[in-house]
Amino acid sequence: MMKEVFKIEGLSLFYKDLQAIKNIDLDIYKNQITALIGPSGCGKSTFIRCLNRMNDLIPEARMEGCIRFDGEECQVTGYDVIGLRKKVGMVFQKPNPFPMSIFDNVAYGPRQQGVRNKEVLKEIVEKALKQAALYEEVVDRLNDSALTLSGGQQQRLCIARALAMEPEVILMDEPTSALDPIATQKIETLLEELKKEYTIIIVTHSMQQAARISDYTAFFYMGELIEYDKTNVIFSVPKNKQTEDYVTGRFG
Amino acid sequence: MEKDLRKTFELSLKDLKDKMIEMFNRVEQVYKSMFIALEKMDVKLAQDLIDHDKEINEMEDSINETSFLVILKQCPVARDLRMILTAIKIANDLERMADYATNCAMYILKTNQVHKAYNDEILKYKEYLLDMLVTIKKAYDENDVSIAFDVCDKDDRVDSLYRKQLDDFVEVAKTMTDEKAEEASRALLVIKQLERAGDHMTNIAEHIIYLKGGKLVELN
Repeated sequence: MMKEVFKIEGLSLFYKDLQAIKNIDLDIYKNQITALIGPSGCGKSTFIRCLNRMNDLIPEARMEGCIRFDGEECQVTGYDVIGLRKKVGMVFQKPNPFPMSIFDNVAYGPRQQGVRNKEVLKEIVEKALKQAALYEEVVDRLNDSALTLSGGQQQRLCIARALAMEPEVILMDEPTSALDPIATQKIETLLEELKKEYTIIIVTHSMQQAARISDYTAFFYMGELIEYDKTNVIFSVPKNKQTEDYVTGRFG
Repeated sequence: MEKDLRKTFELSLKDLKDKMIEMFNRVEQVYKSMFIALEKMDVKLAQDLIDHDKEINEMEDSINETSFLVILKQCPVARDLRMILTAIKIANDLERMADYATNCAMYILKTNQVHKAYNDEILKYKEYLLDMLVTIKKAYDENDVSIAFDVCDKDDRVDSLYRKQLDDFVEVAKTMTDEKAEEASRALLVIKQLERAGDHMTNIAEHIIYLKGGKLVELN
């Protein structure tokens, strides 16, 4: 039996009167890659932003239901949100390195957490860059600006930055949609490697990507979770007609 | 569902299905002609069947090529992918069936008018196989699982006919002269081919069931 990292029950999210997510029940399993698919505006991004409470930053967003992270309700008042975001890292669609050196980008989080020892920081940065399969390419230029890196390298830097916080879960919102096929391939290979240690949730518009890399796939449509199953099932014999129409490209 | 969202893709799938139906029709025609040639010991018709067999191989090649290109260009999944995979497999079964008919045509060429003692036994397959051919095409065309199951039931008749004939041949062979034995052996090879043709239609039925429900089944 696989361990659930997130246990989500009856989750709804409203932006003022607009209900973006409708009563979703979903378990996210540890050390698995879970892909979220569905047409734009279906609630995928809103959903993953619930998981590390990014929606707290939107004043008009209101959440109902229950999210348990490692068994503990994480959306209640008084829950350690900073601690949650430390454990649930995020990588966005467009690489967004800070305008500082490669080293400082990765060291940023640990420094914020109070790590000052240079040797320790060096170790953390090196480990994170290695995990993100970027180390070899940047080892001689750690003090160069992160903005001198290519798009694919910048995205792996952002993954390294997330990994430096030693999270349990990494949320990825279309992490390869701005990248070329080679860079995409590198990130996908990386994810296969990372899932041994982390739980990964990835929003993607590429069906083939979801089919290639994920273990579980959730299909969202108009704020509802239409079907959630093993990826092989979703892409071979989905139970729901809407799911089949979507994955075969008949609507979306 | 938006109708024209994947127009090129839909057209390719339709093209593939049309090619499949064309191949079903062609194989059905081959069996009809083969049985007529057998009834009349029509050597010319038999030769004609042998000469045109390569066209059926080409039909299979064309289906394989279309399938390859659709997979390459459209990255099909779910029912679309199943449709393409089953097309490849069914085309292969149909091609084998056509080969068996060709082998029967060769038997006609080798067996002269005098030595056709077993033709009545061979012709017992005519009704069964032609009926199955029509039914299996309908099951594929209409994507109908219950009709596919009918074909499997119909194949039971072919199998029991073959078993009975085989037992009879074995019994009679013990007392045969060499010449008679040769004749009987040739006929035995032919009915074995026809029995195999029935098995291939059962295979096709399994593919149709898989196509519809995504489950692999083993019938008979």
